[in-house]
Amino acid sequence: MIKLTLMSLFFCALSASAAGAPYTCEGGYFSIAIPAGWTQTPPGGQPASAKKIYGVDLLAAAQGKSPAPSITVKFFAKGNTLFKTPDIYVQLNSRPIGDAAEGERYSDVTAARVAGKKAHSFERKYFEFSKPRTVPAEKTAMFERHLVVPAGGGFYLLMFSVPFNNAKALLPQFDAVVKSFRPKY
Amino acid sequence: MTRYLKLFLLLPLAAAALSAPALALDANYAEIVEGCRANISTDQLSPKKAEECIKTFHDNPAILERLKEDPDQDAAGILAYNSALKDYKKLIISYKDFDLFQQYTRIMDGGTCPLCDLELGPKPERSFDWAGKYLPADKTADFKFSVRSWEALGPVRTPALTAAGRSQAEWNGQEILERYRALATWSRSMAAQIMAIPAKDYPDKTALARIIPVLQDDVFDQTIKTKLDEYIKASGVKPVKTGPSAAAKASKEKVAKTAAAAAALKGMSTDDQAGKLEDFFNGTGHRPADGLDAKTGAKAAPKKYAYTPLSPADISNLGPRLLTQKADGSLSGPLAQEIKGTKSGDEILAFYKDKGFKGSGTNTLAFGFEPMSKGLFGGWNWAREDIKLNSELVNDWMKKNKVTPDMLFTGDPDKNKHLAGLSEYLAPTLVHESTHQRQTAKDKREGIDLFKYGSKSNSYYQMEKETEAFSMDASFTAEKYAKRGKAYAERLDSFDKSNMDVFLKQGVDGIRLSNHKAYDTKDSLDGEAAKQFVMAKSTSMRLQALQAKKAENPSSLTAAEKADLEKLKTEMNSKFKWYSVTMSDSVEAEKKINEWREETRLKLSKNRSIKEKPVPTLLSP
Repeated sequence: MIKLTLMSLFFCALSASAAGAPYTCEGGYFSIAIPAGWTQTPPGGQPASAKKIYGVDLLAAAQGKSPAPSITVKFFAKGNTLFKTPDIYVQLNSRPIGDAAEGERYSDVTAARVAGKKAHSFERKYFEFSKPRTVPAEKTAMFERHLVVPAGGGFYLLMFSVPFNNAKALLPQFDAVVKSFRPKY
Repeated sequence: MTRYLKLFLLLPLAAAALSAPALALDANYAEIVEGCRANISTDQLSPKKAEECIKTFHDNPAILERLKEDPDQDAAGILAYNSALKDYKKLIISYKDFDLFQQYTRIMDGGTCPLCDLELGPKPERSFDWAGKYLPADKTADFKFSVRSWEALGPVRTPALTAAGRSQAEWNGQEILERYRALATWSRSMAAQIMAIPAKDYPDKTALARIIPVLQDDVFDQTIKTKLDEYIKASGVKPVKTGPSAAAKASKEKVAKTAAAAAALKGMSTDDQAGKLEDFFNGTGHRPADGLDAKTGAKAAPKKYAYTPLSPADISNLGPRLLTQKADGSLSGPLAQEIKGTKSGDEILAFYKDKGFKGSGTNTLAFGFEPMSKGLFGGWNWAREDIKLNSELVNDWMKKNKVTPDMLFTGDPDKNKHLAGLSEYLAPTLVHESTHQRQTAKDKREGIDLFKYGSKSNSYYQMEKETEAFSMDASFTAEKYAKRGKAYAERLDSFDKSNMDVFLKQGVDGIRLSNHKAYDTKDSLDGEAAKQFVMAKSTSMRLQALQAKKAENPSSLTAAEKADLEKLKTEMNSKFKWYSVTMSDSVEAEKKINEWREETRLKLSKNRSIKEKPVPTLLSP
């Protein structure tokens, strides 16, 4: 009981100090604070309820021709159309498809805590290519961090993707989103 | 069954899925529509409310369908202006400096300007109160500086411009590009005056520390920027930032990008436009002659080729060796063979053979190569109705694989191993570009090819078209990879391999996100809808007036009015049909392609357990 009370106080303190616009996902599966300078991508394709994937992709301003930095926070409910289990997500995303491209690197999967819950964490350095496509193709080195939190029969995903040379500068903004993250489960 | 019929079948299902009693739906409908209508009054215009409205219309097709038929509501206006507000907020938050100026010009220029109707443009100053009310303070400040509004010029520029006889009203009366130009001219002249004095002897070092960074922000000539850097170092003072924005980082590259857009609009060559703009900012009037290095003016070294590139005749003849269309519409040749037997490839082959399209000729194949400027890729061109790829793509592949043109033109195409190799390399591109051709054909069949260009037509272009095309080609490569393994992935172009990775790792959502991250000039469905429904507004008003007259006294309509009524009804229905079909198509495509992905993933999955290790971040200090 004491633990619970302390934890509640801790969370309340965090909410009080959290900056950014509040966002609660459809279905109330989680809430976060969106930092200034990040916007939600417009919806498209299947509605969240049809995919059983709830949440948001946030974009910050792109620098030059590089892809825009993004933060994804989503709840993949049981029966969702993409990943039957959190393990499948981690397996697909924590290692290269085929051989890694030159310069592509993957961290190991590590244990982490997100909102007090057990999570899997991993990172990768990879390349994104300019669109519209060019001849020859032009690429940008990217950094990506994934936090996967099994919960509620499905899992939460908090993902940060950013041009590698800007990763350290923007990482605190992702950390702020992670700190503001309040899951339903 | 046509897609439109499917839509009508889907709509009741979508309504049923809401599982709300009719009365509750009525109440919800009235509340939702009234809220969204009120939001487009010029005293409200909340971007947050606009986002809620568009999401509601997107997720609940039944509401949109009912709104369309509601004689008491201006459906076009509600949809258009809420979409425009949502799009505008995203733009201001996402960009700054020269990038924001370019995006701003894109949405405010031209005959259709929904934000101008809402009194938020075209002059950026008209949006300032709105931005102050709804956007974060730092973003509002960045916006004001990005459009180089007088009040945001800061303590260095403002007194200097005032001394030069400029005033706020006159300054803000200029186009934004004129403001950038004036600052570039001023900064060039100021830099010359300052650097005429030896750096160590400059009398007011404090002022110098404040002026130099401002001049570097404003000047477009990299040489002058560098000289200013050297000058301030030599003066021994540290630069001090004074403006409301850290820096305006317009580079020659961005100028060239603007030139390309201008060229497309005005029908001038990109090079001419780039030259004009570069001269415009530099004020040098100098363009290097052909074959001379832009920086040094020296004669460029001749290119050395370790292979033989395609000749003009090879370029013309290569397309038919790879892919041809028979009289019955079916495709043959090594490229057709390569895409056959996959989910997306078979759909493409079926499209070209589909008799439903044959009458209109929209599924006629015109595939080949052309020499194109460096950087351009080519693709489906709906105005020319062909798929033409940059021949450099083939040259690059030949170089990498040590293949000569002779090897490609030897013997029976279906038995030529080099053509098979080239087909493997080009197949994802064929799937992608054919998907675009299929989109055009379907849109014509549905009658939503509302964008006219001479005798040609297409539907309005927006991001979901690319989401479908990239998902189709990625599904194709993923399926092939599951069959052929790692070696196949290595033979793919890095671009196609990367796209396949995104698809397998994150599904269609991943492709959509990747597109939003990459395309900063393409309208989302919301952005395009805003423009289209504003253009339809006068049609809608006239239609409502005639319908009201008819309802009051059916015999009061003249023959001309009756004809007008029918014509306007068709026009409005087409717009709404475009919106509904586009949404419905993106839903169907995502569902189908994600199901294909799951089948492929199951073939690849090995269900290994996750091993966790305490490994530190890749971002090591």
